[in-house]
Amino acid sequence: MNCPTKRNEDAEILLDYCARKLAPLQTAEFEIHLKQCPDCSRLVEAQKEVLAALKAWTPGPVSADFDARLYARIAAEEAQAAPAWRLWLRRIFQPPVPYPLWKSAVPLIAACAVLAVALSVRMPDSVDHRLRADKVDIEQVEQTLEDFDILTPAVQAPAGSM
Amino acid sequence: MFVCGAVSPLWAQSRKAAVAPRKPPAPPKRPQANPAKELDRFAKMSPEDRENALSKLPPQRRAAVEQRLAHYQTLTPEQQEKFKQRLEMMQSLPKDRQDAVRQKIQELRALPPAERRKGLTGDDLKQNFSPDEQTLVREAFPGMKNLD
Repeated sequence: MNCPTKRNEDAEILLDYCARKLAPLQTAEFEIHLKQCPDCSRLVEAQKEVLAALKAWTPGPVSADFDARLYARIAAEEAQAAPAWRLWLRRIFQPPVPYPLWKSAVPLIAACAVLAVALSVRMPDSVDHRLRADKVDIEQVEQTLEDFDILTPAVQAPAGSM
Repeated sequence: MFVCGAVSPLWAQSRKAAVAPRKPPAPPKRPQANPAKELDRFAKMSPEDRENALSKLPPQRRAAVEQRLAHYQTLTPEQQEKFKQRLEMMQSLPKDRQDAVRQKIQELRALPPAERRKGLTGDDLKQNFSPDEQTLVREAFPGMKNLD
């Protein structure tokens, strides 16, 4: 048997042996090799220690607000690292969940449409102003003001009139 | 030959006159609004609307209108009311009598004070003008009232 430490492709044999995943025939063959190879023996011992440690370790309890605190801490660290406008842009162009950009354009298009309607509604107003001005008979007003000039005693006749 | 030459243009002319289209009738004149109300409406217009209305007048007439309007707007509401009453009295007169009153006031205004006083108390005013007309003329010269 070739030494697994000498050939990378046989390294899996060593890990599988430690995990007790090797077939009985391969296991017997590898154990013969182990007795003769100090390098493999050392590696197997080290690997067994790691596996024993992992088996002995029990994870601590996770608090209910763990996620919220985690995201808040990430956000705080990001805020320290980059200015707000850059974070804002990042949220638009690199959202955590894939988001099609055309969805952002919808409110913008709606706002433009409302503005266009508002402008078109306002246009007749200026026409109305002109109509109102047309409704005044300026010649009659002129005649009335001439009469004002004649009938009102204190008024000085403007130059060039009468 | 001569007769034909002389007559044919006449014939052609008369024919042309018969064929020529009639002049289209003038558009109906807008009924005259109350002048005092029209003046008030004009005075209360926005500068933009007033500018639109004034733009129809030639510059000299426009300047006169603007000057008189500015003066009208300096009057107190009571003075404006008094003017409106005189204007109403004037409007109640036939057109030719309105012109006669206007002309008489302008004539008297052009005279020196002594002659103006004579004109206001003279027979010409009493004989040629109705009592309403005389009132309109005399009220145009309030300083001469007591001498009547």
